[in-house]
Amino acid sequence: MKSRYDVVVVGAGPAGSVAARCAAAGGLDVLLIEKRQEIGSPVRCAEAVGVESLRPYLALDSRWVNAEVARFAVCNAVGDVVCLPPTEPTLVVERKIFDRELARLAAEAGAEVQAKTTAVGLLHDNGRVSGVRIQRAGQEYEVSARLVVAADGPESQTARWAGLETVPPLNDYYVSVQYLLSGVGEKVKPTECQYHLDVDFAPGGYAWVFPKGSNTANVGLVIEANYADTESAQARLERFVERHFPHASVLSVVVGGIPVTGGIRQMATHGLVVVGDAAHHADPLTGGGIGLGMMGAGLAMEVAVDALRRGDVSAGALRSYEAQWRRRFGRSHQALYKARKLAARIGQESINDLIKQASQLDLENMSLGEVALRLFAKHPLLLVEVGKLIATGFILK
Amino acid sequence: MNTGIKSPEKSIVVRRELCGSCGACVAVCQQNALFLLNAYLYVDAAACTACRRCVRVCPVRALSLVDVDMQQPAEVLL
Ligand SMILES: Cc1cc2nc3c(=O)[nH]c(=O)nc-3n(C[C@H](O)[C@H](O)[C@H](O)COP(=O)(O)OP(=O)(O)OC[C@H]3O[C@@H](n4cnc5c(N)ncnc54)[C@H](O)[C@@H]3O)c2cc1C
Ligand code: SF4
Ligand code: SF4
Repeated sequence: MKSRYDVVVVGAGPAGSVAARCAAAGGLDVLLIEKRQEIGSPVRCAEAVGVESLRPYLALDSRWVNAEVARFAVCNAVGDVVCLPPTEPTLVVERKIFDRELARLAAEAGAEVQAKTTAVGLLHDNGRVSGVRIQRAGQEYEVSARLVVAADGPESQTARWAGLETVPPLNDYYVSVQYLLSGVGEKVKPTECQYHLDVDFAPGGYAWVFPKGSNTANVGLVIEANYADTESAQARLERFVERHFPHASVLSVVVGGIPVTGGIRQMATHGLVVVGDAAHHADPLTGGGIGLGMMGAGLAMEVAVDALRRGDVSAGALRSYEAQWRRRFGRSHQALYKARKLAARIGQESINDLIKQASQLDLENMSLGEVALRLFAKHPLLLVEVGKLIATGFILK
Repeated sequence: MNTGIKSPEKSIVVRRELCGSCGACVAVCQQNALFLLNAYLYVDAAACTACRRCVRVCPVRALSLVDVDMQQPAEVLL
């Protein structure tokens, strides 16, 4: 490790590794640090990701693809199921291998990667971020950088040290527990991702069952943090597993949180950009953020590499990344955000009923308009709510 | 970082055998009083205002807010 770099990236998740790789490919001197001793592990993810978002960054590889998803099955609390084709080709991946491959590609592009190396503070110079205080192998180092990239995930301290507001309100924060289950049997189809909308288990969120091959599956749930008071996320998952997979074994336990605000207010300041979950890039409806984190990091580095070349890494120059991010994702994120709030508002009975109605329709041979008409006929409340969404200018993608 | 004894009467205690080092609590602490280093969660007792946000969000209930006996050594409070 040297004492000076052009760019120091904090956090080697998908967003950080993509940021480091883009910067290195742009001819810059880059350090990528990761506090865990093994990049990609422990996993904090259900591991479903759309192929389109990966395409610019890496070629598909059977080493980290566990399943190709042919359909999404959306289930209500009383046993009805609507099956939908995925909106884009989707995979269930092995993030341990996937994350490490992304970090390896960053190293191959010329970035220096250091695991078990933690950012413990920032250096400041004249009101701008000028480097990172790093702890590694029991020693503390001051490493200066022209640009710091905060890619340190939901707990991002790096952005906070720079004075940016990243703490989500509890009603925009998902808390989550997931088990990797073995012996899941017939209930899991090898190419089907299940989503369970049932407030008894996952109030303000949902439970999922994603196939991982070889009779295993990621089975987990997210709840809106406000609902964790009455029963913890883990206790809820225990009940869900008892109900659906009473005989399965637990191969691993995953815990975590996901900010679902739809994006922090300010994603850059003098000498620093924030990307990925640290910037709340994840989908504010599903909490999915692998692909969005990578795309956000890609956008940020296009702007930042150019800013570094011009020698202007002021907040003004870097915030054009934020403007671009909002142009690309602002509207769809707001629509997804509102859809989450809408789902919470209409209540379980309406959800049960909607899924039941939809399960009886021949979705493959109907236009979206026909489907909407049939569902709205029975649910005028929903029509009003969707009307409001459209009236405010947001239409679901 | 201050990891010593907190002067007010409440403090956050981590049950290490439950904690999965996920950082969900760190993300919601408005005082930035929590920090994960080498998979261990540290509490900056002086910064903590005992708001309980971290206690509420922990997916595995590893955190609790306890009355502090001022005589307790710092390690017990970490
Ligand atoms: C249970 C669960 C299920 C999920 N399921 C899905 C899913 O199916 N599909 C999907 O797309 N998304 C899913 N997500 C969200 C997804 O995991 C994140 O959006 C994604 O990992 C974000 O990538 P990132 O690179 O921004 O952050 P992360 O992957 O969180 O990476 C941040 C990295 O920074 C490191 N770090 C933090 N602080 C420091 C420091 N001080 N110094 C050095 N390193 C540091 C961390 O150790 C971590 O490795 C899920 C999340 C959870 C919790
Ligand atoms: S939220 Fe709970 S499990 Fe996660 S780091 Fe905090 S104390 Fe540990
Ligand atoms: S009680 Fe509040 S201030 Fe104290 S550590 Fe928890 S979240 Fe932070």
